[in-house]
Amino acid sequence: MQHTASVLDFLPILIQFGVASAFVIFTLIVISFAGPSLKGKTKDENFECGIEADGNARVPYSIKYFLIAILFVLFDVEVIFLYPWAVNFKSLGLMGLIEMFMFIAFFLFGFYYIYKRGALNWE
Amino acid sequence: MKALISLSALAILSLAGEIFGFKRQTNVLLIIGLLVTLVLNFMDWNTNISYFSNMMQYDNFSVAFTGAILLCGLAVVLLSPHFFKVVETSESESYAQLLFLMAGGLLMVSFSNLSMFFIGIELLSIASYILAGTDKRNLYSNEAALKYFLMGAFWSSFLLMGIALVYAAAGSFDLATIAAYSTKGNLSGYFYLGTFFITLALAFKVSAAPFHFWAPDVYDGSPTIVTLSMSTIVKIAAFGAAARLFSYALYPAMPSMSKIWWILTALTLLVGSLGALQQTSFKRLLAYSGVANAGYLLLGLIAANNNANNALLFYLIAYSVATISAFAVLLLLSYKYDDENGEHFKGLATTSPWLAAAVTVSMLSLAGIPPTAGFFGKYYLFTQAIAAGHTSLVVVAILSSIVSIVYYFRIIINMYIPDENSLPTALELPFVYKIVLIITTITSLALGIYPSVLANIL
Repeated sequence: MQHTASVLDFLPILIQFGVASAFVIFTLIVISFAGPSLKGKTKDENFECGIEADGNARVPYSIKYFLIAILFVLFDVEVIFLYPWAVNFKSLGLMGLIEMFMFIAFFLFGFYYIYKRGALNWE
Repeated sequence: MKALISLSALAILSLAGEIFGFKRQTNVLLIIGLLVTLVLNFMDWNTNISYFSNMMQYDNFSVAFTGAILLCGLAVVLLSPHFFKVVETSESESYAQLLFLMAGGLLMVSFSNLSMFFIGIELLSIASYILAGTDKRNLYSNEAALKYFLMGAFWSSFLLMGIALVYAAAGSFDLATIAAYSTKGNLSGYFYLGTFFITLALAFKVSAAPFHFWAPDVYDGSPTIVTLSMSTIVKIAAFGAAARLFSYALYPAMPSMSKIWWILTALTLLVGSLGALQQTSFKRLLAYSGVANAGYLLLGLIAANNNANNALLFYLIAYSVATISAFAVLLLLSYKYDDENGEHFKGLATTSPWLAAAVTVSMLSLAGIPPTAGFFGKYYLFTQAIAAGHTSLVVVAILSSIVSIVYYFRIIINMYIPDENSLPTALELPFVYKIVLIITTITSLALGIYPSVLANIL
């Protein structure tokens, strides 16, 4: 029998949203009643691993960080494709192996490309 | 399919050229590669095979549109070398972007599943955002890239929402399944809403009014060679995708959306023609002419059947050919003067009569005067629109083409009036430019005299 989609199918998602937001609101309300409320210079300071904050956080920093971050996301996402291959390794067979090797070759080429173009060069 | 694989391989090859040190040969390699790709593409004629569990389907529609995209791409690659002498940027990376853009276009004209359609349109869009900013040191180029990217990303989300809503109604991304669902009648509201969102997103992509505001700025700010690829390749791909989507799957929603199409088309025609009247920069004039031409092309989408698709293909080819020769001359002039002002066309005929003749044929074709391709392009589109019962729109379109004669003829008249500031010597005409101009001019005239070669191919 063919299942026809309706709005009701998405009801669990709505319930999930409700539960998630109710939990946050509930916790915040309970904390404001249950916890002690202290104020002071040391108390209001940002917590940064126990090290004292120094200067402004809004300082310009090197564009290289962004480049590295973008490249990381790119290769990270590509690696995700290896997981479904691992799960279906047997059923995909030799053809799947060849296709995945081609895919890996492409992204290794991409890695070699960014290396040759000096994207990983920090100086 | 062979064409898509060969094109992607060419894109990777030109990236390899950058790191393995055959950068200088990239241009020649790409010209040969694109010619091979064209041959491979036309080998698929009359085969109609579907690939990857019906994700893509190569029928005559996709082969014909792919051929048009590849030919425009070939023209862009041929005209490119001079650009890279002026602008400081990585040559082979720009070529790779152009080829990835074309690969996206190929997906857009051969998909048979909405997810492939979305991947195609994103591949095309992301490459064109980057290409718009190729001239890194130029502020206008940066502005164009940023503006195009922000607007494009915004409308991509509409497209995705539309696809999701159509999926919610039909329960599938597959075009044939959606068509089977939608012809059954008793459609849910999601289907109409989804179709509406997809229409809006595509209207943005083809720069139809009231979503055209990005077009003049982006076309003007981008380097001229990129503007050429945006106004030919992107337009063919976007209209091909829209024609495929509407004529294969969403056509039952068309009659109930006829008011929206009426407003969209009439507004695009008016804004394009009236906007172009006031332009002094030739590049901006061509941008507005692109908007007006999108209006004529929208006429071909409304009917959403095979004959209308054929008329659409004919007009797209006529428009692209005329645009390529106009841009080729503009490129030559802009290297000489360093800007794109329409004033430089003054007195062109006294020093370079052949260039002036090429521009004249191109302008006549854009204005739709016989015996050029543009006349028959418009004739076929108007016939299809009347057959679909949109006579009032055709009246608007005819009025708009009368207005368009004013600004196209202003260029022609400027060229033939001798000017005291006109060029002392003839423009230097490189060999490739000569070849491209000869081919485009002859095609414009040949399609105007023998329109039947392309009139009934689909």
